[in-house]
Amino acid sequence: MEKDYVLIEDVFPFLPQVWGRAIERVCDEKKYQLSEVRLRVGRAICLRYGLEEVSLPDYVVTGEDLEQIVSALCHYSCYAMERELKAGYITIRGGHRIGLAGQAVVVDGKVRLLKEISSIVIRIAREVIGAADALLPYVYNDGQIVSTLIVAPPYAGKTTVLRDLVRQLSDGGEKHHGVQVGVADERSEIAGMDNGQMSLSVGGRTDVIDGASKAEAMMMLIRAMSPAVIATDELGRKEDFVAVEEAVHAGIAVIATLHGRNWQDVAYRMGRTRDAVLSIFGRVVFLTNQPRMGTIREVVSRP
Amino acid sequence: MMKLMGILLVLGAGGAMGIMQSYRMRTKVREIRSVIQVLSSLESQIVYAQVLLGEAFSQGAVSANEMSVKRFFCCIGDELSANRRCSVTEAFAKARRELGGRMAIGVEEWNVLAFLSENLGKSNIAEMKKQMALAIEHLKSRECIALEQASRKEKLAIYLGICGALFIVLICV
Repeated sequence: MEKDYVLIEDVFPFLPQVWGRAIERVCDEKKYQLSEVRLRVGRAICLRYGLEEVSLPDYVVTGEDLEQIVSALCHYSCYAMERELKAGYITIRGGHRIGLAGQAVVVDGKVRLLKEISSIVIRIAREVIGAADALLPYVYNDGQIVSTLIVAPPYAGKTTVLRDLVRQLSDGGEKHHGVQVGVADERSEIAGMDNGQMSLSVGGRTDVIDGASKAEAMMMLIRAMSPAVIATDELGRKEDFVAVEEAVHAGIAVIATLHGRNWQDVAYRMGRTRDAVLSIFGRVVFLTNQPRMGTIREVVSRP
Repeated sequence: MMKLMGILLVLGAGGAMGIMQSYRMRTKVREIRSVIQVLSSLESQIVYAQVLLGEAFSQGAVSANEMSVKRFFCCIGDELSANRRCSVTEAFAKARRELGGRMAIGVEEWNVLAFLSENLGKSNIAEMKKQMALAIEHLKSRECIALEQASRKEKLAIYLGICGALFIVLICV
């Protein structure tokens, strides 16, 4: 198997060198690419390849290791990552999301920061060119882009599919012209912004608002960038849905993802009935990770 | 003739040593002042601009009047920006190893900076502000002491140099 440069360049610099070498050895033995690294204090390093898990019993994680890793992830400037540390995740160059768990310091009922980090999960963002090929025909209706909601449980490849869809809509293809796409990238996972530059391919006609809340970023895109399509990942808060409705009523197609498995989950999370959801999104696409990530299980269209 | 030249040489060397010592005292004051300027600028970069420490050090170094201080902080900034595994303490130690010998600031001032480097970047903005203010306060008091020592001992060092040389001349002659 070829060297995994995503890991070598983006992830290993933050880990102790011996861990990097050990992970690389396991990667060389596996057919699949590494999708996740889990580090828990007092436990062995745990690696995830697709749906398979491998642990490295010779490498037990200590609290000092995690402290050192978090400091390195913050570029030894924790003050500059206050918002991220409060939210429990840091996104690094390449769009890789580092989730953190530890002791929360609560002030006035709100989490002020996480300290004594006890677990870290590194989710490796992979650019899969063509991941949205199967989905693309469903996004168009008579040559027009239809607002589409992509619903899937974790590890089903929502973000990977969304990223490739954004790229294809933005660049266009043989059948369709490219359009202006605005991306509301709250967690820097879609475009992997690094010092104002996109580290992942999201197309040549794409503008990204990075770091702002999804609702705020969508409103900013509507006002400032006049996009034909707005894309965003993992809708969840009430204000996200309000912003989506605002965009749809402004004549902009919205492509978004949502955590869930079925219509019940969608209705519960959006606080709307199936018909109400379909009045906002012309298509609702359910993805599954069987037989592989990003497989379309069901497509529901507005009647 | 040779004897006269030898006497002049010894007196000149003694005087020069005294002048160098007094110059070092004045340089120390200027360097402490310059370090305070850099730390104030660093504080703004951290508290208001919230830039990463590597960039903050490089930006802060620009405000230094003394070239030696500018080079020292630039070295820390470059090391932090270039090496993702390098902590502030390590970058500080490296810069001190490479450039510390060319600077006039004393052990107490180095200790203040070393303590700051151990805590820099490890906590939130409010805590950073406190740490920076504490370091600046310490350095200001060190500046006062250095200034007082310089004004008291500057002339003394020159006289001591010349007198020392004179003493050697008298013994030898």
